[in-house]
Amino acid sequence: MTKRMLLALLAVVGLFLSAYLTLFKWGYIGHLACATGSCEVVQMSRWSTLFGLPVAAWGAAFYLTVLIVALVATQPQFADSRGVSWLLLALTGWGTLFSAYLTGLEFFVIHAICQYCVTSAVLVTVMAGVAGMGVRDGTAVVGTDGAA
Amino acid sequence: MVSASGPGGSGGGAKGPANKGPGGSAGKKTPARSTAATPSRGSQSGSGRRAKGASQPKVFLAAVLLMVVAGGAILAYVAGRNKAPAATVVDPNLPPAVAKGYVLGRPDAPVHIMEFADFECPACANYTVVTEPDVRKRVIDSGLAQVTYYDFPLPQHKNTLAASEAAACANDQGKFWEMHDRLFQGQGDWNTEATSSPEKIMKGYAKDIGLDVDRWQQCVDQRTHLRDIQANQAEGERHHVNETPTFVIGNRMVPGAITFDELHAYVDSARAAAPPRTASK
Repeated sequence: MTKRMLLALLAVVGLFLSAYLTLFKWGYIGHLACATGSCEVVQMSRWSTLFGLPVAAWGAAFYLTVLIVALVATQPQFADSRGVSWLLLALTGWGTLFSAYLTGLEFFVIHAICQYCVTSAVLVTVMAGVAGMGVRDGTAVVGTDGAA
Repeated sequence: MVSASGPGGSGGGAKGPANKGPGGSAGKKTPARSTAATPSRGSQSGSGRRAKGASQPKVFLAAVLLMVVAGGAILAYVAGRNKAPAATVVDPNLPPAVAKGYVLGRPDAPVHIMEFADFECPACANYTVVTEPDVRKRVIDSGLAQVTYYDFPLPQHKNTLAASEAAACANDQGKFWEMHDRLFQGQGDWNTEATSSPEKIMKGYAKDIGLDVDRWQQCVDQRTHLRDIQANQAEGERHHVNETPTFVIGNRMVPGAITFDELHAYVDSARAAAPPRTASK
């Protein structure tokens, strides 16, 4: 498992998490399964929409982008591409910063915790870490002996 | 920066472990792939490793696509089962429901009794069958008090709402109290423990007490009086009723199946305290 493959897998998890929340916002799912009890408070707050679209939909687009880039990056022709590594780091780094902002809103403004939002924030932070390791370690090796 | 060895073997030049710092012959980046079948580090042949390495991204891509399809199917299933309820058109000018209850007795009776009861409640049935005949004869018919019955269906009684609706529809034809009595007398035949389809039994009661059964049935099917029943229940909640039967006699609220003597005592007390009533509610 290379770092880029790991990024792709994590992006798939994030994509479905965001898709689930997006379906709820659009009314295709009536009720969120929520252990914290306040997912719907966060999802129905005014901070859950950005430029007319649910934040979760933007999140799904983000994870899809990372997934596509990571999948492309696993191809042999991009194995040496540091540009791709930096692109992945830039994407996940931006995702981490934006998720930190959203998490801050939950704690200090909305005063309600959505477990899915926090999970996504943790996920994208881990992804940024993996992407950072990929940049630090150089080009990716596509293969089981690769440390990237 | 030394390039890592890859499926095509090292690209010539410096060899070293992958992902280390600068090294190699001149610290220059060397291409990872070689067009020649150059053996990479390790004992496997370069072509074998190249073939294996070349196919791994494809296998991974296929696995990810499979995950995406499976995940999409799961989401679609969850969405199909858990759909948000569709909005329905309602009358925005719906008037508020008024708790009218069902009245028995003279409108000028000095004391008013409110009875909050559940048709499926055993204690209510006990009061109706054992105590109420005396109450009707010696308190209601004699003009001492007027009673108003309010539905207070309890959630654990699955057939109680059907009974309330049956009685409300009988009231349309002036026979609420006849249906009330039949329901309580036959409670054991139609309650939740006895049947999950009480409608047939209640239709039999409607026939027995001489109702226009078709008209009664239409009223029941359309749930014509559901809002009235809910209004009666809301009146009980307004009085903080939390068990059935509960009686409000004058300014006293008495929970539980009251005896005749107790009820008569409360009526006398209320009579002494209140001026005569000249009109019913």
